Amino acid sequence: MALSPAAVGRHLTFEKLGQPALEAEVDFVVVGSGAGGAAAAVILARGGHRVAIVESGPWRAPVDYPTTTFGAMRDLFADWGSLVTQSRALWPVVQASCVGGTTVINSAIVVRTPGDCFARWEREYGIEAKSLEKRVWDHQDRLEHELSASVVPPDARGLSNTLALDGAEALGWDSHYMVRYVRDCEGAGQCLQGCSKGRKQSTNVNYVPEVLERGGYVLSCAPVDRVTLEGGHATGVTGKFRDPVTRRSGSRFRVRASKGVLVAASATQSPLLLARSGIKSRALGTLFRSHPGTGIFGVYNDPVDQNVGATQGWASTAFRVDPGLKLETLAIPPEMVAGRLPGGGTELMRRFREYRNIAMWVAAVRAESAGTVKAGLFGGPVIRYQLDEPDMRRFRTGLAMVARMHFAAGAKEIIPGIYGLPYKLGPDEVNRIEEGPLDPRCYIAVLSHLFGGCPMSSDPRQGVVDGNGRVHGVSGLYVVDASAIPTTLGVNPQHTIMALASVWAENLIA
Amino acid sequence: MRRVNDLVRFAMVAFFPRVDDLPGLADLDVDVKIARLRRESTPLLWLGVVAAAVFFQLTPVLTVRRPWPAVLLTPEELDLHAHRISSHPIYVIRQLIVLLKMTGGLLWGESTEVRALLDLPAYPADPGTRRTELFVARPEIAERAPVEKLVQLGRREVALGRDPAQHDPQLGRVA
Repeated sequence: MALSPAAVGRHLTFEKLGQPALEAEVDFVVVGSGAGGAAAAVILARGGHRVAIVESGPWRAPVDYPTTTFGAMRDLFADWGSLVTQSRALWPVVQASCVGGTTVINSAIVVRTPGDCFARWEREYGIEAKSLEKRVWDHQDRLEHELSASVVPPDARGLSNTLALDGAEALGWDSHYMVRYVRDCEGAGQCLQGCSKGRKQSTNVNYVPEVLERGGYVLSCAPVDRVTLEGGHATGVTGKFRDPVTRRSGSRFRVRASKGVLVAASATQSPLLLARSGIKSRALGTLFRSHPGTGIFGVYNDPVDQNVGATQGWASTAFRVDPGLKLETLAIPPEMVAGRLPGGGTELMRRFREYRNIAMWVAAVRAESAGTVKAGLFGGPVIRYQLDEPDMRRFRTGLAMVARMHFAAGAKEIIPGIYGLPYKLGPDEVNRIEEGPLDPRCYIAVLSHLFGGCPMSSDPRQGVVDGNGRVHGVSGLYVVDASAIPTTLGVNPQHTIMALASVWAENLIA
Repeated sequence: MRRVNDLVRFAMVAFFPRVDDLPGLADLDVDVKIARLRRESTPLLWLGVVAAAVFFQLTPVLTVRRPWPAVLLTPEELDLHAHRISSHPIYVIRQLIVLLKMTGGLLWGESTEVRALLDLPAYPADPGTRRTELFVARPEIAERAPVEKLVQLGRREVALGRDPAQHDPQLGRVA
């Protein structure tokens, strides 16, 4: 089947084995529909260009979202959330695979790109900072308006979040209720499973449909095999539709792009796609970074019911520079707490009985450690990444701070979940966390903010893309996702990824 | 095929037994749930779960010093084995058991009976659907209806002066 250039916007997906192959011609093709891909695609579409978004996962609208964590792992998470770092510690890497990407399963937290990040990019990677900073912030103004950025309303917060503010205030720490891309949140506590109320402004409910409205194409269940290159110029992408249930490959698709190919397949997938496509760069797959985080449970006298209210509604960015941490609330559903609490058998069940009285708060480290992401034996990403000792010290400090906050908020005990420490600690025992192990294997942490793999730098030896997201040495090929960001930010990255992608897409229509 | 499911069932049930009024995994359609896990998860994940279940079966010697499979342990020994193996000093063992606990926890904790004890409403069935139509419109948003518990807490927040209107109007700026 060939799509005529005059065709109206269409969504094309896996229907059945043996469906006709697809050929399409557009101005720009964007690989990936998450924060970076959707933000770039909508800028290009608004600029009057015909755009195709090609997404490896299925398109699920809020009405399709699962409510259980089992359903979320099956329907929304990439490979059931089974990707882990392959280093000393096996820490899970959380990503979604669906139209909207990780914006469907995250908390849509909005924090502006800190100015010192731009200065560092200029100092260490030769990126012209001043104009980039202004343009990113201008786009962040726009994004906040378009995506209903707002503070969690008082009647959506829930006790876990209000207790966190109580604790921070008691300690004299600067903190706030979060600003998120959520329209009139009602505190359903379902951010991780996708907001079935449709209030979270994931890109699958706004920018991706807008691309269709503007005459673009969206291909879902369509993993891209490679970017096609002709004479050093990117000309499109090819791949095969895939059954989202059986994972069997179906018919081929080919999308030709006359003006450019934008890759936004994520920090774990974009480097692999470029490598498969024959891009040669010594920087490819390097400078993989993250904000590893883990939580401490506080045990309170009265029920907290952490799953009633916003999944994440409170944060402190006051410790971003020194010691290099972000503190947040994070409510996880009972089925995840059951697996997360230490122990097994009747002892685990007795521990679980306290579920209603516990709240989980998290410390995420603005880590300086860097790793790599390369293709493994079967083509999937292999991530080599572990925190060095200074980062582990910060990590430990963050957990001790969270523990102190719990006690300041009235917790009677905490559950550190650190191997080698007792199941519970009292208010006088926080020093045991501060003096706790520096071995990452003693902690159950998660990598949820990912950066690098196709880092930007003006020097082709150091970076895969330049300061405009253009792949060094190839015309018409751009990377517009977190993989281009060469450092951590110390804040939630979605706002930065979207704004940076917008700036780079804007360059293409100027 | 059934035997593999039974192996997984044995290990998961050992981790999530009934305690007083808190139902155990064995009380909650565990066979149907394990069959579903096998059918709907990835081969790699299922392989990991089976490996963990086999490992659990073969390792009582590491925890309760009994050189026979877990299936031959007394109920008390089996319970102790489940508890001790989850905090074994060897990291890889702990990780293998985490996988078993996490997947078992998903099957157990989503149950209506468990959620009722936690004062949480039952989960509606997961639709398992996706968009296949040629044009996907923007979804409409239903009327806002926070639960009463949150409304009451919200009133307290407003009384404390923690109203969004009093926040920095420069949204999303880092401290």
